[in-house]
Amino acid sequence: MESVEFERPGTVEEAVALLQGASGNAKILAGGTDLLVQLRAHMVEPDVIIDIKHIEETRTLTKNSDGSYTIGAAVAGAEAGDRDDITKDWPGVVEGWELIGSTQIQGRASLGGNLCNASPAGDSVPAMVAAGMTVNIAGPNGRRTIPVEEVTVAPGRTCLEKGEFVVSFNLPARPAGGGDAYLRLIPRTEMDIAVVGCGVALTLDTDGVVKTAKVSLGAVAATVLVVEDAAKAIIGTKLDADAMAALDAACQAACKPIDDKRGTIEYRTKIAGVLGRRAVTIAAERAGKK
Amino acid sequence: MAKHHISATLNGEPVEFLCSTRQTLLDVLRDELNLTGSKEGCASGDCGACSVMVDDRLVCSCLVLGAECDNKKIDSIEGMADGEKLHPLQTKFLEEAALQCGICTPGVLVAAKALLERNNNPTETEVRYWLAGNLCRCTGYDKIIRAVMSTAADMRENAK
Amino acid sequence: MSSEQKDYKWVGTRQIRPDGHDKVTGRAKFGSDFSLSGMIHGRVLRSPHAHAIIQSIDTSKAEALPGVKAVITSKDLKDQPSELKPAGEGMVNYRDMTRNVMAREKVLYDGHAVAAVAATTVEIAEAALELIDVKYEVLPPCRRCRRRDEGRCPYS
Repeated sequence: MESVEFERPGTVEEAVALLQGASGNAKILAGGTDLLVQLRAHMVEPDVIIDIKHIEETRTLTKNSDGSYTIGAAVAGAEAGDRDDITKDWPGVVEGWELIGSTQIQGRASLGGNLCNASPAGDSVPAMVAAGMTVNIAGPNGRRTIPVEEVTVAPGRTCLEKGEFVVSFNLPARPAGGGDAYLRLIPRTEMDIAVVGCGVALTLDTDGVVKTAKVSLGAVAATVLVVEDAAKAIIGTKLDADAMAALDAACQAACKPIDDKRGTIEYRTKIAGVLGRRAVTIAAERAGKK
Repeated sequence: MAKHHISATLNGEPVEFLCSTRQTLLDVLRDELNLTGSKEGCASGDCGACSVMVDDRLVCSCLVLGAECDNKKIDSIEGMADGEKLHPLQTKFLEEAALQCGICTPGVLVAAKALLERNNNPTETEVRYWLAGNLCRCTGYDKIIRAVMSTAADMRENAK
Repeated sequence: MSSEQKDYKWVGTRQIRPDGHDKVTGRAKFGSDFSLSGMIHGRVLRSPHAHAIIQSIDTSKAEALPGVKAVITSKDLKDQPSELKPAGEGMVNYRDMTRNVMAREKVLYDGHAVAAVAATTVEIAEAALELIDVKYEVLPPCRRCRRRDEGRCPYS
């Protein structure tokens, strides 16, 4: 049997050195809820598994003095869900995160893993994109920070170079008049993969007019989409019927989905519009819309 | 390569074991430590039959590597009863006939205990969502849910 | 329903199942919970195709792997005549059953057993599966019963 090495670096630098030094295939282990399944099915055959959970930075969720958050890549969804601060500030981000699998999976599945697994349907991703989150990546050439939406380049593929891994995420402070939401449709009530997912973050002024908005769709294209036209459709409006119809149409127009057992192209496209409207409505309520 | 030498706490007792990188915590419990109460249903985190607590967090032991468990606190079904004295959930499952073949039962019990320790007054919907990752193919879920709700009611009564 | 009340010893009473205590404590031993010294482990090679003709199965490399104790295919199962025979509570056609247990001239569904290995460890058994070379002629899947009329039914 081919043997697999197992390493537990205590610092980011050690982890990068291990990743760089690995002759062939190194795999990062955080929650393991994707990696162990792939390992078992022989979909991946790593020479070394690098458990990053002994690196303090990957395991801490900190609310900074300016109200923003720094979230370790290996923090599990249930750990975030147990925190009152982030759940109150960014309910949509936490909703997406806590929709990943069962209670047991949520106790392990990490934000970094859900992003780097690079599934078009990863539930944590649209809300992170909508919230304007960025990723702190460490590698042989030091650190870089990029928007979440730039990490996945194709199904199963990220932009990470050899020797790089995601250390943590930055989540901005919740802006005044801000609200966010994540909705997904699955064929059953729980424990399935999104047919469509939609994340929305927006801000309202004191009159209830949308000042800023970001709309993101999952599972309707090869990677998670940022739908700029959907945001444009509602910015400057009070979310009247015309604005919502334009948002719906923009969401549908952005879709480039596939047919599969969970939904057809037509179904996914239509649902993208419906979820767009509903997610915007929830986000606006959370932003204080009367 | 050499096996990993892991020291952990299992059901309140110190334990040491050797495992290869590929061995999951479930493999370790069953094959190395001979604790076969945790079952392998799917080996992919879908069925929950291998549910255990690691550092007081409910997880599927098939999705945890044994090598990750150094200095961890692990609690499995074998530690649920206090010697011969059953946990109230175990007693209630017997009284309410919330088991048949018994393959899912250890995982369901470990998961239900984790819920009631967080929340001793769950709604039926909360119990159903919490246990959504524990599949049962013969008893049906109603008796299981009823037993959990009934145990929770007893716990609240006893807490008064 | 009779209104007559009768005291039965068991009927109408709720019993604690005799195997319940062992099952709620994790002590109950199921088949896969047993581990005996010298035990060997089985693994099954399954078809990746829904419908295909098996042209050949080469098990020689798997048999040569140290630790492999046996490799079987449908050749090790005697073919049976197509007739209904009494079996337990019902009637069984052993020809169909034999073909379901292990694919004979054709695989009839994705996951149909094609070969099985017994080895000293699970890992060796799994490695042996990868050494079995099956040549398939892939056929279109049969999705409707009336295809039988067109001569494309997998059972024909």
